[in-house]
Amino acid sequence: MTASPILKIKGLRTEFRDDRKSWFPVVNDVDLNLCAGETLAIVGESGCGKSMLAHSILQLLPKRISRLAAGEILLNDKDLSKLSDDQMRRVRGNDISMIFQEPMTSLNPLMMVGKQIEESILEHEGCSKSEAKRRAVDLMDLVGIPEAATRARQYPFQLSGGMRQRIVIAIALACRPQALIADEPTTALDVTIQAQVLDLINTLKTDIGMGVILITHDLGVVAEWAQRVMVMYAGRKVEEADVETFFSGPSHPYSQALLASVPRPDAAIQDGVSMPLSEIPGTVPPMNQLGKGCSFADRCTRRTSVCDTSQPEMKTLPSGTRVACFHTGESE
Amino acid sequence: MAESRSRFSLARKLVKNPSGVIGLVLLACVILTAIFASVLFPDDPFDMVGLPFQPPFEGEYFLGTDMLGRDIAAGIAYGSRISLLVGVVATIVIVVLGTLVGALAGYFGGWVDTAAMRVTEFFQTIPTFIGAIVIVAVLGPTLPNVIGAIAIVSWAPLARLVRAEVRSVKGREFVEACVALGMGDLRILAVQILPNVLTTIVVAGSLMVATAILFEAGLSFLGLGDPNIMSWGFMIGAGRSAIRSAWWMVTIPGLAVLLTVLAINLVGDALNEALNPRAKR
Repeated sequence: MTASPILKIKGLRTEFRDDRKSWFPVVNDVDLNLCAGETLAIVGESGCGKSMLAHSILQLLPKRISRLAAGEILLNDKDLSKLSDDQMRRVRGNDISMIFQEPMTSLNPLMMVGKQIEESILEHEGCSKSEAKRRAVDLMDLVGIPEAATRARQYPFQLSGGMRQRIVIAIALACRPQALIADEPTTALDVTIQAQVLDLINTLKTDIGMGVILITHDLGVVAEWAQRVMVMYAGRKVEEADVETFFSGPSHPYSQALLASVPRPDAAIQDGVSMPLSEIPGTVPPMNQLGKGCSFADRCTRRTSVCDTSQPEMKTLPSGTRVACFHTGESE
Repeated sequence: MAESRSRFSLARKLVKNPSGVIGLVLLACVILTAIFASVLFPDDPFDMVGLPFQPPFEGEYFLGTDMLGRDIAAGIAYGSRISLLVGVVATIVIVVLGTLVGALAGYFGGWVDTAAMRVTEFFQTIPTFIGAIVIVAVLGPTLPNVIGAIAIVSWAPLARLVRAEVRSVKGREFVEACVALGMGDLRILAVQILPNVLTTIVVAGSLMVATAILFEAGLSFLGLGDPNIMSWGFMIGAGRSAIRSAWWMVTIPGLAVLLTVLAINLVGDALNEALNPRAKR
């Protein structure tokens, strides 16, 4: 990571308002650096704040019930949290793009797919319609759609799921953004298409030189495509590490439990006895009912009294891994 | 290319539906009559052309004459112009107003929505026909006033319909994706959301033409139509006093209203079926 980061997030805290009009955090004290040409994976189970973090970066959360309570989001040293709505609108799609989980629903069903790519180009760049049309076809070529000129005049329902996700990627990359946030981009696709789409994102990442934030809960995807991993739990970052370090031995008990929960066909039967898949007991606590201690304490095997009374600080281990736990480094 | 094909298939779906065919044929007859009224009947429909009280299908005048000796067939022909004009213009005003208010309320939500919905509720609590009567009575019976009165009392339900549709489309993921791509609110509303709501507007609008025609006939019947224009409602109102001795003076324009409204409703229903994706095949 020699290049200076394009996206720097410091102490980000996003809050939601509950019925009693008090505010509670859904993203809490998160730091993040993203360099050009790098893929940072954000993992964690459902409800731990991954998508909230992504939406906070682009400020897509509804203003009436949410707020950015603290921290800064620096894109090339420009603080996005201080931009007006109009300035923020120019950042979206232009500097930072986002692709969503469902390729079936993230395209307008009544608009030809080529036109949808053109719309994105026209929104940010004052080029002519014919120029936009030409670039849309080029982009469809780039994302590997055969007979792009013909396909451009088709409607989303005429394309398969993988094709649609390619179109979604083409739309997101229309203005060559510096950073791409992919919120579970392949969850709705089958595994072969999944590999193709991730491979495509990876190739384009190198071509355009952008940074990718890949939100997923599939650790296999992380191992294959990411350079760094950030584990989130209950709105906080609990561990951040290089992929190699992470998979050779994660430090936070939550990361360890996550990794142990991945089904492994070879390990399922040991000494003729089938081993049950290990799981993490309990669920993520509701974000508006967090105590002052470590939020993972209830489900943690290493819990001691200190876990219930104070929040663990983020510390850096000799391996370069950053982890927030009182008990890392202790033998299990 | 694809667009012309989809339009072609819409026409084919309309024709496949028997009620759609009947509606289209009836409507075509009414429209042709309206277009060629001055060719078929070069004289003013208010002219007294023959003896009064001539029954239809017997004498010189195909549909008979009224108590002042005016040709009823000419009245029907010229009346169709007014009916269609009122129906179409009032519907355009209603659709523009209803879509504008409904779309803004549905998209922006919050206080815009609250304010717009309180206004529509105000208009919905007024009994529509009585509201129209009051407006025309106050402003005077001219054709623009009649059209305006019909539009004012009828736009609110359409606004609420459009609002509900816009809200449902706004919640779909592709709209969020457009926001994430930095598109502006009005652009998303006009380019992305409204085309998805268009089906609903077209169907509701087509039925509204029929309602507007009935309103106009009702107002003219009560003497609140433009007195210088021959319309079906006026003919029914005028013939009412002679209903026991000359049934045709009321019945013929009544049938004209009935068939026209029926035709538009049939076409509207067929449109609804043709455009409804769930009814496909």
